[in-house]
Amino acid sequence: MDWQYFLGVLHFVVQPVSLFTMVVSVFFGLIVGMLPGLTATMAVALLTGLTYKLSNEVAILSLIAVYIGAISGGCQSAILMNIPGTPASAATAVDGFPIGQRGEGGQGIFVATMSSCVGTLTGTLCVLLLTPPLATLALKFGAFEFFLLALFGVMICGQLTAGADPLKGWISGILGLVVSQIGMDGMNAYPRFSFGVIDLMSGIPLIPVMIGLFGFPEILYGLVSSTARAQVKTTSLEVKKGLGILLKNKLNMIRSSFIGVAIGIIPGVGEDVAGWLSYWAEKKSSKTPEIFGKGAYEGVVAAEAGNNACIGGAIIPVLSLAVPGSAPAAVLLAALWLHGLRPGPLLMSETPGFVVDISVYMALSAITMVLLALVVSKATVRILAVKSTILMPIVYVLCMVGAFVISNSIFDIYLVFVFGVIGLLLRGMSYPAAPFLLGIILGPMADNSLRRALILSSGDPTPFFTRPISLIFASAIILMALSQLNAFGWLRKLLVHEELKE
Amino acid sequence: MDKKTHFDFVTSIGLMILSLVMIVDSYRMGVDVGGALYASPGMLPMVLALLLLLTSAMLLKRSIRNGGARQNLAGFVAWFDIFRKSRMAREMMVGALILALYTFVLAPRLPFWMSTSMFMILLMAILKATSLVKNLMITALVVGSIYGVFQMVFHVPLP
Repeated sequence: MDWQYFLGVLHFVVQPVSLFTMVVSVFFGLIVGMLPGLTATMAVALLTGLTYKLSNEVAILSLIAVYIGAISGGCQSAILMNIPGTPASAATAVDGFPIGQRGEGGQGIFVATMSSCVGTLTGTLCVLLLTPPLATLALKFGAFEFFLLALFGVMICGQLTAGADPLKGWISGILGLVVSQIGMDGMNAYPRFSFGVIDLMSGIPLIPVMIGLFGFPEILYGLVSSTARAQVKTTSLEVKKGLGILLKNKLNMIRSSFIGVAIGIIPGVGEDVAGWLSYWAEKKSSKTPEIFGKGAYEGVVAAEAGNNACIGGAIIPVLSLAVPGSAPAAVLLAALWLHGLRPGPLLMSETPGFVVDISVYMALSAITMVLLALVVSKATVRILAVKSTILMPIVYVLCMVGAFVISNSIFDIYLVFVFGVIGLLLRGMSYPAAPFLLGIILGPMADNSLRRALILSSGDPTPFFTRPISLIFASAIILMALSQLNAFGWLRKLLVHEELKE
Repeated sequence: MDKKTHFDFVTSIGLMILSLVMIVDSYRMGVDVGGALYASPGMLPMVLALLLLLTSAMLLKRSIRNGGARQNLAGFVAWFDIFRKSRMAREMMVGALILALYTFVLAPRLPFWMSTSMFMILLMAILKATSLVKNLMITALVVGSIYGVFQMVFHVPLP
């Protein structure tokens, strides 16, 4: 690797214009990511238009900075209000919100932000070092693997979020997959479950569903409760204690970061799945899995390190293959095209310094993000001091605006309400909402992959079990299902019997 | 009996009906498009419907095992009666009605600043969130900020 690229990009970044752009963009990203309903995808998309007249370098720096800021900012509203600012923070809310409820919102944000930074830096390292070999591995994923990955994602999410009742988690995930089937299918343009309604033919958009499922129940419960004032009094941040938590979770952070990068590389699977998978891996390996979901810092660290490391992972296929690893990365790819850059193998050979540029932008943005997020969190923890009867109408208006501005459609704000009621029912009957959302995210990929796979094999399902990567996913799914059906009861009985005999 | 068993009993029956409807509809998709079923738009919906049928049947079996069909139905009716008389449920219904009014009536028909101002002033007044003066100030600040940032800075249309 040539050091002249590093020196060149460092010289550019320390220019006042570059520094100012980076700070403003990270801050903008944090705010957008923090506000429920406004996503990283939207932040990058909004800024793409604004940076059109800037130089390529400044524009790309700005877009990378806003991407990192927005993914990190999502954790703040997840911890303080149980409304993930972005889908990437959904896993963070599982343990983050109980931490906030316990009066440790400031501490939770500190731990989440530092984990985000470590995740982003790990992702950066991977962009720099692993782009060519990992892109080769990602190419080995075919339709069979993508279908099983989608199914596996929904199942583990259901297993994780439903507590002692994974059956309800799976039902919620299946319902999400069902909702994702509404609208024209990608291969035959056949309108499925649309009932002749034009708006339904274009499918159910993700953002209004996310806002409705997570935001609406919180808003409604917030309108009829007045517990907010009591919480802020106990909101605390002890840096030493926070660093202790991080130090205790160093292995967790590293593992989650690498999971995030690996998920990011797989095209189409974004930060949200990375967050959930990292969370699942940490819960599975923990000696105290029962504390997860009740305010375990381990869960927040895993989810945030995983989803932020995914940024680097998602950028790897953008740079090497011109294939986005996630939705914000797709907008970033479009922005690179807009600025006259041609990502893909040609970019790697013609301008090898570009990978170094991106890596340095990411690393510096991550550090800027930590500094800014901690400043912002001092203000955001005060959100809890505002009476919920004042805050919630404002949040509802923001949710509506967030749902509307993506595609300027009034139908989307209707969807917020409809899916809000569904979210309320799910919550009332102890069905987790997160697998439902993940089902909607992964549904189109599952549909296209399943049919492509079966067309390739002329309807023969055996490749699902004979291809090496498929076999791993298929085995994991089957084992998960069998364990719930108590298929291993005989084994447990046998082991207990042997133990008693001893 | 688990307090949620009667919900499980009712929802599992609802989900089983939904999955049966989906199976029929998915099959019809395959017939409409023609060709092999595995390549038709109804392929994944069919798989999902079968999975939903299986999981909801498991849920039904569990709820019956834990309480019995008749007891579950009686539990659901009793819960509905309690819900009807609950003060919190009534307040939530009023809140949901105002949110619905903004979503389905005000926002699609009036300019953003007008619909949002009306919604915020009305909701905060009904909830007795703050004094009228503060209510008006908060509303003006929120509507002005959103309008300024989205409409004037980013040129993003608002509902």
